[in-house]
Amino acid sequence: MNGLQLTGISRSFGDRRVLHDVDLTVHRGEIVGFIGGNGAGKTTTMRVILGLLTPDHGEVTWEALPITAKDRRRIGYMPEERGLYPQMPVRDQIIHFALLEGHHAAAAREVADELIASLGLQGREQALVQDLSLGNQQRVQLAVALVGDPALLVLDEPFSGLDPIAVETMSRLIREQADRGVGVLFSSHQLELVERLCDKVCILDRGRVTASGSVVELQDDGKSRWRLGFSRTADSFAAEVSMTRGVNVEFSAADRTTVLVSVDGSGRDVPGEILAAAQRHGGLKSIVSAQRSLADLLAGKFISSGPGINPGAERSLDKVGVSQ
Amino acid sequence: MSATTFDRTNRSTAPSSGSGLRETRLIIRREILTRLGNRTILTATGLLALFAGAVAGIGGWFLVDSFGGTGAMSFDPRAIFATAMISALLASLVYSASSLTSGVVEEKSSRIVEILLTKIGIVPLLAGKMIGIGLVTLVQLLAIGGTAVVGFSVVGGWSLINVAVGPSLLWFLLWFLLGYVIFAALNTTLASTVSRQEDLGTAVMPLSVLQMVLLVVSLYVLPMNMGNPWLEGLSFVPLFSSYLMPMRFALEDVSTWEMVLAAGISVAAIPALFWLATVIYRNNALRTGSRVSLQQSLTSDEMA
Repeated sequence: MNGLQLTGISRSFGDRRVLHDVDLTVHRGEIVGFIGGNGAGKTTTMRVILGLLTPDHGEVTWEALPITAKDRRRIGYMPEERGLYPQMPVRDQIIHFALLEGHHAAAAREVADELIASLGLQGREQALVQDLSLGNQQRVQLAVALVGDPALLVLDEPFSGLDPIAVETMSRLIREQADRGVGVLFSSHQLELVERLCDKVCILDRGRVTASGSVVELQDDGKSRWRLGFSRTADSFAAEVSMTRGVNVEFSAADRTTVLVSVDGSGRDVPGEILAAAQRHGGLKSIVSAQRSLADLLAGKFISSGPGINPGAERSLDKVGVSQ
Repeated sequence: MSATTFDRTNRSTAPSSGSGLRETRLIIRREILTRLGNRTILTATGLLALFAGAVAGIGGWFLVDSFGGTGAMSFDPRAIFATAMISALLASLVYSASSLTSGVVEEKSSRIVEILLTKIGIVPLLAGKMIGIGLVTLVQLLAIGGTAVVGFSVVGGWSLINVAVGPSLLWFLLWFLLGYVIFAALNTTLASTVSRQEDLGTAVMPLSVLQMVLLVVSLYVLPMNMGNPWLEGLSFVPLFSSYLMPMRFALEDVSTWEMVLAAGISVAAIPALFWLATVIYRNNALRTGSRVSLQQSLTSDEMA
């Protein structure tokens, strides 16, 4: 289960500290999604892994030992911008990077032809990269990342700009690599995709890891949530329910007919006292289970019920509750 | 969009670890192959070679026809030879600088540099790039200059010019190589401060201006001020020597030791300039956006 491990990584640029004690683990055969807003520090973390940046503090290990230049040669990297020569034919490009990885000429040609076939680039071997669609450019980029038979893939926004079909293909290719025992760390803003594809997720916010674990672990914070829709303003319902111990209530200033109710515990059914309060209030239209998505986690929507965790979200919500 | 399963687990050939020399050779290979595969470059080189041969032939025929046998020329015929050499030097250095700097910016803007630096390091990358582009430029220079020499020879033009053609051309090649390497190191340094092609002209402008100044000094100022101690002193300074020494060699009797000393100084300067290029390139490799000042480039440490 060993693989890549970052422990307490910090990095500053001048006076600006961009990484704060970042811990991250990518085991072999594991897909880890790296999410966070622009400027959160994802690319900097990846550059630390690749040795392009030295951390101010902390340690990067591979297979439980400090990572070496030789280890880093086994990392396949896909930068956020397309790291390709735009005026070089596809096959020549893959051969070039295969040679740089240490393959001999014949083996490099063999690797290139295999990758071209595997990634569905047949017929485009002699095309210049700049003449390919974005999806095909991504495939060439992935081919370049794979030419060294990597033990770890570090992919910076691999799905950026891809159409849904290309996203599916890229997802499948990443999953295949993981199934072969390759650890995969990728960043993405497509959170539904991360939820679906990743074994583990690491959320970075302004250089700090705010959450890390499997998607199920992250979604389960020991609370059950339901969104109750009413045909009229639900202020009195919210006020009544919020007096109940272990219950939090949130609803937006813009829509006072929908209430989000959080209840301590992981019960599947809406507690009776809440249903009773809704019936007393009248006009109940719908009850929908509302587990946290990664997007919610990232936006801090549900975290706002804890005082001070997400002040921005607190300001945007009218909060009614006694548990604060 | 379909793709079959990718599986290379049964590959018999495992990657071998690279060495700096091998990696430099691979970068050289890419630079050469990229240009050999570019029809525009091949066609332009061919046309320029034909043009140079035709111009040299017609010019030589005109000189022979006008002054052949009379010896009554109103100018020093060696100046024609020297001017041709300096012009060829300038054209070669400007062309190679353009090719080199645009390549540096292309790799930086597309982030290829991030992949390359994780795989091969900075010295093989820069050395391979400089040597590869230098070799292509040298071959182009030999092709274009060679046809010019042939064209001039066919009409008997050399009979009018009292210079030792062989040694002059060999020295010229040496000055080209030294000038190329020094300008390449400086151009790489300046190009690494930007990440957009549109900023490149501004970044390398100091060197472009310097080239023009050197052209004017070597073609117009030096011939009229032969023996000037300042100009003689400058002809030993790297960069200046590539332009001034060929001119002095053609127009006056320069001692061999002076040529060797000037060449030696340039050779000694190359490691220092290459080191400077690697430091600034390394510091700027991950920087994108607006141009980075040289001071910032020297004082910051962006890369491991």
